[in-house]
Amino acid sequence: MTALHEKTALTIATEVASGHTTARQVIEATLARIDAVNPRIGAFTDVTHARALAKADALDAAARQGGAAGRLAGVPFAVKNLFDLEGVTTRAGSRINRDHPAAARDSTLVEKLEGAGAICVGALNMGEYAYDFTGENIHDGPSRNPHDLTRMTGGSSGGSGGAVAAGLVPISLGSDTNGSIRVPASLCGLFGLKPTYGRLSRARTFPFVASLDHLGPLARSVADLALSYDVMQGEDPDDPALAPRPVELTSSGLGQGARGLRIAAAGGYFADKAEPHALAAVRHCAEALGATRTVQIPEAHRARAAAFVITTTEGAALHLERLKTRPQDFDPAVRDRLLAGAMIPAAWVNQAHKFRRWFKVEVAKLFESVDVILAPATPCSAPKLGQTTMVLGGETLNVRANMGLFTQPISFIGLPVVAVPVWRDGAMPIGVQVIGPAWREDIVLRVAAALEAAGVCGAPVADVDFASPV
Amino acid sequence: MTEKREFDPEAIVDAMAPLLGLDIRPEYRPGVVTNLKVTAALAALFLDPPLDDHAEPAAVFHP
Repeated sequence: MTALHEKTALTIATEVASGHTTARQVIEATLARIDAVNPRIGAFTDVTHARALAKADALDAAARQGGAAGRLAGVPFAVKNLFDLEGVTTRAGSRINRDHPAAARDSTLVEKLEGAGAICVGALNMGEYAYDFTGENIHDGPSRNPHDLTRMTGGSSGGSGGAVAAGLVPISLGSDTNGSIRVPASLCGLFGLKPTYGRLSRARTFPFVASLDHLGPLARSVADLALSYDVMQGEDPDDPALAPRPVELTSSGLGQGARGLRIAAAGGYFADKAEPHALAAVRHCAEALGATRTVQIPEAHRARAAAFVITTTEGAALHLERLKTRPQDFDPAVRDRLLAGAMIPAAWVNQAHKFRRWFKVEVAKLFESVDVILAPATPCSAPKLGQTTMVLGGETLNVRANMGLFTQPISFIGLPVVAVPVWRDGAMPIGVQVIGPAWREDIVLRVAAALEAAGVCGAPVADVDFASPV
Repeated sequence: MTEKREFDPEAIVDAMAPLLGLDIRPEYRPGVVTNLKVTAALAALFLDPPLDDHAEPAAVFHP
């Protein structure tokens, strides 16, 4: 019999809906596991015990009165601590925002998930203000990789990766401006969906770079990823960047697999600075899908550069007042990047936005002859905690700024991506990006499901080490 | 035509920080200068050659 912490959201929801178990039992067991495991991995910064138990009781009471169970009935989930949760201060990984009052209302995506019966059990650790690829937080301590506590989760949605990999929750939410869902998915061995820019509402979440911010789920199965994505779609006047598109459900189409899809691997930029096992993971997926073609995403290095400039300048503009008044309260690594960003000429930023449109058009042409592109999610698997540099392609590079080398050009033009986890030879996992054209989350989820069904990808719960000191 | 000068992050910090009201303390300065250098090197990738005058920025406002 599968233990609760290894069950998928779909299984939990089915068992709660059928009366096999109650939401109260699920949430009590979830909270007990969080209390036991979290001190090892530093995933949660706020555990909302009372709120979660009250929601569970309300759900069970409604079920006893014959109410229809939601598609995520009784499913525990948690959110990166930049999502507003009523009654919790939204710290966004910072010390400064801890002085803010508690949020008055949940973020839209939390409302959507709870509207389908899911139950939020808390807020998750993250890199300060999301300007991070490591998952290390100077104020709250690092998120530790549940598969090896001496290694990074990746970031900035570090706790979102750690919590799901350790089996504390089956689904978490993260944000992804340049790779902050896909990097922790890769390093923690999870499935992560970064939807198309403008697809899911960002209302009542703390921003980073409005031009590039996305939200999305991480999970241990593609079906859970698709189900949570389906539930979170929909109009929301509170996010002006949300695209006016109808809900397009993906769950029911997952079984179609990859048949008929034209799939290619990305070469050039996406191979130059990748370690051999990152490229082997892409090859492994390509072979399983029968994909033999390689394509060149044009000028990807310039796209990454333009994303970098938009990020540092928009981020600096967001934080300018705090940089003036409380520079000593920032993580120094974040502060110095933002201070530099504040001094960049406006003409450079405008040119970056012009390049963004050019790049979008060129990549759209590429998608006329291909449906899906595969690329590494990260250049390497999880670095050690505290590691500041890594050698890629013979060049020594800063970890914090460069773990997103391969994710950054893709989110720059908002394309939908599922990061899928590949495990080989007992080593740490590494992710592959399954990239589709804009608005085709259905395609990338289908391909991810095909890889999962073929046994090429999977997301086992970590056997968390309780013996070693942390 | 003015001759293009080498990007000088130290000079940028000296000129811009007071204009912006930013206090660049001595312990911040090396990190800020390094990040300015990195950003300038990356920006050079898309500033040269320039896109033509009719290239629209990505953000389009719909009233």
